[in-house]
Parts: sequence; structure tokens; C-alpha cells
Amino acid sequence: MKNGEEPSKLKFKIPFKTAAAGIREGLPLAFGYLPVSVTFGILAKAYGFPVAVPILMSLLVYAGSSQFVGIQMMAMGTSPVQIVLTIFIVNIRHFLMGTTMTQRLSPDYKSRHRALLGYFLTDEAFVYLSSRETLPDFWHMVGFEFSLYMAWISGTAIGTFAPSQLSPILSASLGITIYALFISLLIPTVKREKKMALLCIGAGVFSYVLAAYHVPTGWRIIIATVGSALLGTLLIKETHLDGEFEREGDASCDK
Amino acid sequence: MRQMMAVILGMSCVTFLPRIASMVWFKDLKPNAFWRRFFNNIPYAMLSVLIFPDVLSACGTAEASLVGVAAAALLSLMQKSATTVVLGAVISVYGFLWLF
Repeated sequence: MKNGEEPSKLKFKIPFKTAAAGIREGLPLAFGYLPVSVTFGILAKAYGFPVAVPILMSLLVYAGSSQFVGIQMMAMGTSPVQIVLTIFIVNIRHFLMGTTMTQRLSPDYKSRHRALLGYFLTDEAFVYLSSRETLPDFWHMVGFEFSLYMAWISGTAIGTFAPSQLSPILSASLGITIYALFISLLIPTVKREKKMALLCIGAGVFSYVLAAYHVPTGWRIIIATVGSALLGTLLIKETHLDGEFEREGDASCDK
Repeated sequence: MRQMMAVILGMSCVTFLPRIASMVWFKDLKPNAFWRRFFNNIPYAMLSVLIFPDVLSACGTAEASLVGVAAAALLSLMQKSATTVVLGAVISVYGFLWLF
């Protein structure tokens, strides 16, 4: 938070310029959300749900894999308790993301700021924000997360209301967007720190093997992420990235 | 409809509970050097886990996806902006699928 305004003072006055910069930064990711959320809307319509169901789900659940799993289970007539339990298991990984994220935030952040950022912290927002060298201002992050949220909801609405589908070639090629974005986050880090390539390849292979053994997505993400991060911590002793936590901690103490 | 609404609300709770609780409960955690390195590794490990193997089925065929991955990797190595990388990858996959 070197140039950041103090988050606690911003409760009633939203600095629109900062928020707009965040929204702009979110656009490539938001663009990546569209094909996924449109697909979700189309799927829900194909299952025969009333339009309110997928849209409310995107508004209130706002979690990609959970929504796909959830709508499939609802269509199959699974019991509500079983659905909610399954979704909880799919979402356990959010504990890991939130714990990692909250430690990078300056101590100035009050619980309500953390709660607001956490509310919209999807996998993609998490990996994007945490692969930045420094975290932006509070309202910048809120704007960033908001543009993803809007893309998710509008994509769902488009999928639900669109009279016809996209051409198959176009929808197949749009499928790459989110992964292209992930790659654009990963490559600069690996270039900056060659040893991270080992960690990333290891994590990818681990995930691949788990998927081959049909480990459910939620568990696969947790096991492969924690497993490879632990192995990486044990095996890769020193990286230039190690100072990240201390650096940001120091910056926030300057005040 | 009422039951569907209840299921959606239930899903909403079990999604936002871990997201918010972890941000609020663990804010005062003071990890030692080992765990700091561990938490530093988390985003990069998770990024790779989200890419593989899901990317292989993202564009219909694994070949088309690999074309997209190659284009994205190349453009990222050339230090292009995220938007350029995304558009370049989409256009490459589109071109590949259109040709073959």
C-alpha cells in the first residue's frame, strides 16, 4: 500500500478513478469469463430451468465449478442437503486462497474490507491479484473484482436469453481465453525466477495425474496445489520472490 | 421454485463462508520463513493446476488447445499485454479450427 489511501477512510467515499482503473484491469479476465458464463446459461436453459435459476445462481453463488456441478445435480434431482455438502467440498479450496490473500494485505485493512474483497475472490481473481508484484489499492481491487462479477452475470444472462448459440468454431476458440490469460500470468514469473518453472511443471503434472485417476475437481485443486507448493518449499530453497511478504509488510509500516 | 431458491441460497452460503471467513479469521496469522515461502508458492502452483489438464479440453480437441497454448506462451514471452495474448490465442485457435 505504498501509494495507497488508507482503506478505513474510504468507507463512504468511493474514489471512482481508482475503481475505474481496477475495472479496466479486470477487462481481459472479464472477457475470459464470458464464454464460460454464456455456456453456463445455455446449459441451464438446456436442462429446462426457469431463467431466474441460472441468473440467481450467478448473482448469489458466483463460483464457476460449483455452479456447473450444482446445476447438474439439481437437474438430476439430487437432494438439497447432498448438493450443498458437495458444493462445500468443492469450495474448501477458498480457505487456502483467502488465507494466502489476507496475509498479503496491509494490516490497515479492517475485517469489513477483507470480507468485501473475499466475497468476490474467485480462483481467477486470486491468482491474478497474487501474481502481481504488489497489490493495488483497496478500491482498485474492488473495481477489478467487480468487473469480473459483472461479466459473469451478464454472460449468464446472454446464455439464458440468447435465441441461438454461437458458431461451434467461435465458441471452441473462445474456450482458450481464460487459459491464455493464465499463461500470460505464469510466463513472466517463470522468466523472472527460473526455479518457479519446476514448481509450475510439477503442479501441472500432479494435477494431470489426479485428473487421470478421476479425483473430483475441488479435491484435485487442493491436493495438487498444496502438495506441489509444499514440495516446492522443501526442495527449492531460495527464490527472488521470497521477500514478497516482508516487502509489502514493510511498506505498510512506513505510515 | 421455492426449493430451488433454498438450494441456491445454501450453495451461496457454503461458497461465501470459506471465502470471507478465511480472509477475516486468518488475517493475524504470522507464518515463519518456511510457511511464508509456502504461501508464496500457492498462487503459482494453483495457476498451473487450473491450467492442466483442463486446457486440453477447452477448445474441443487437444490439438486446437495446444495451438492456443503455444500462441499464448509465445506472445507472453514477447512481453505482450494480457489483452494481446488473449486475442492472439483466440485468433490462432480459430484459424486452426477453420483450416483443419
